[in-house]
Amino acid sequence: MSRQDDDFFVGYLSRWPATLKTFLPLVALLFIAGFAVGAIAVSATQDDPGNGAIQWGQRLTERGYIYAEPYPHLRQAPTAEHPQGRTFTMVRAGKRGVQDLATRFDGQFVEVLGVWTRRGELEMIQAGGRQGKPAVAAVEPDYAVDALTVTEDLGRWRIAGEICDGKCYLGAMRPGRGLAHKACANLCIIGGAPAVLVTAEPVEGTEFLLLADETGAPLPEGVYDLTAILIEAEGQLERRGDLLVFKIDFDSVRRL
Amino acid sequence: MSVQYKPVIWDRNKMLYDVVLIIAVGLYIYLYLRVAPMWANWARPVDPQIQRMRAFGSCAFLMLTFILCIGPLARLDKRFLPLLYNRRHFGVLTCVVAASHAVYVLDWYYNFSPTPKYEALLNSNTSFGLILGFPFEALGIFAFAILVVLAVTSHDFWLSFLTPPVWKAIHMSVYVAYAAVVAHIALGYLQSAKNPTFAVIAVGGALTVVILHLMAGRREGALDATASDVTASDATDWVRVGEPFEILPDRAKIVVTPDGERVAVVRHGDKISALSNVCAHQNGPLGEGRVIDGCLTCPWHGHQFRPEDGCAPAPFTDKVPTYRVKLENGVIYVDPTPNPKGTYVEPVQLSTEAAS
Repeated sequence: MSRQDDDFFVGYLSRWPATLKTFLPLVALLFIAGFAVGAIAVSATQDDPGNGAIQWGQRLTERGYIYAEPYPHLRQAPTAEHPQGRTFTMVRAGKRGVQDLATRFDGQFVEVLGVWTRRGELEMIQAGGRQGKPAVAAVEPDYAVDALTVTEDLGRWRIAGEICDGKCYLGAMRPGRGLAHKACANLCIIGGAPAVLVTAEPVEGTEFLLLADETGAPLPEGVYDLTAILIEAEGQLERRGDLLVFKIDFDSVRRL
Repeated sequence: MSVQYKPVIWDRNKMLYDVVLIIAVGLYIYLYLRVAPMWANWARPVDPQIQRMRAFGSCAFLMLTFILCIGPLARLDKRFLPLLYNRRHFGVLTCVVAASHAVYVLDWYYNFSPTPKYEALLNSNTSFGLILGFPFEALGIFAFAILVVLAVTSHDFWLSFLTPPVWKAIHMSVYVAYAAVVAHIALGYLQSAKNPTFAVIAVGGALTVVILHLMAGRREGALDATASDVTASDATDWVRVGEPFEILPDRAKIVVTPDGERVAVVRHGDKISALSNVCAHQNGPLGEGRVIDGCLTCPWHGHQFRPEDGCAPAPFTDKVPTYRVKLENGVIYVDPTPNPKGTYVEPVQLSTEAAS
């Protein structure tokens, strides 16, 4: 082929028809500009994922009584600063829980090493040993178990909120909640991270409730269909130190 | 056109096309990841891994949206026809961008778990009975699988090996992939995002694709209606084309047979011939092409066919069906029965006055 008509484009011929000499560069320019504007518009308007994060630089050593159910947590006796005592939920690095260690030392006074995962006032321990020391080790108690505040039954409640994995919600991932994060939340809970209810409205001053089934055990597998969506559930609410535990009546759960 | 199967047959226009694509995609990713976050209102930034999966995912969606707009745009305005020329490279790049999105998702959301990540991808969310909470990842995997098949079979080797009808049918599944991508976005990211910007872009993009296709379909329907003059000619069922001068020199007029087949009636020099309107390469509209060097040239990729016998010039071997034509009382008619591909048909010879 040796020639080309003035208004007909043939791709393998280098010369462009006169009618396209302005049009095609304009289309290319608008295409590139459109992508540039789109990138800025979509990226700059992403939702705020909150201030949660794993505090990798802040190594912790905490002591207290460890409990395995419903999910591993460490309880500390009241102090002047924390009159209800403190209760920290616990995980390992990655999507892994510390059920094995919590079960082994269940009810014992232990020393825990690790780093904080922190979102505002909410804190979780990511346990991990260092310098040859184990993540969790039984130690001589600083105080008797009686020093812990008594678990307080707050009655039966109907509460709305989103079931999340506590670790990602507190900042292991940003964002760490919502439907786009559902599979990750399920994986974390399967791996042993605590299932929590992030409530639609504050309950007794917090939006973060540790979940359990009616007997106080971990939630059954049915929870995987309920994560990351707005639900409403009834159950017994109890206070363990400064942590609220919501024992869900699974038959009462309703998707909103 | 080529008789050899080379990985890519480059020419200047393909290179320009690819340069524009790479600039657009590179700029999108760079601005998304490096510039725009400076203007975001965050207490702490979104995880870099999540930003990357969002950047590549949204970019792949925009690319696929634009790809699907090219066809109807070219039907509505011929100036967009050059965008079709190298659309396959556009598709392959979209598949690569989508793969990047998939890798970032897999290595972040499905990693660090006791469950192997590929297993986790399939079984961490099995709420298939729900709408909210549906495992939208499955839709993304499905769409990506289609894009991979389309990218792998995009080369002309597969077009020839599978035959154009089969190849075209396979590649029409890009619409299924797009529907799956829209559902993937709608049931995933858009359910979590409070800011409506991407929702507006996603819905707007999908609506644009639908509206452009409806507009192009309406235009095609109208053209078929005007091109379907099946008035019988003196006790025959030949299709009336019109007077010879209605066909512009070196152009074709498209008529539609009673069976719905489009026929390109070509005026080449002082002769008139008729060919199938369907290009043997990728079903392009041959009748909207132009006679160049004695061959009717497809406006999509420049494949050429001789008007008299429907054969591509040597060394090429593609063929299209031909149709018999006749001139009666100053009017051109086409026999609606196609000849086998490559059948020589004596053209109608116009008088010098009529041809000029």
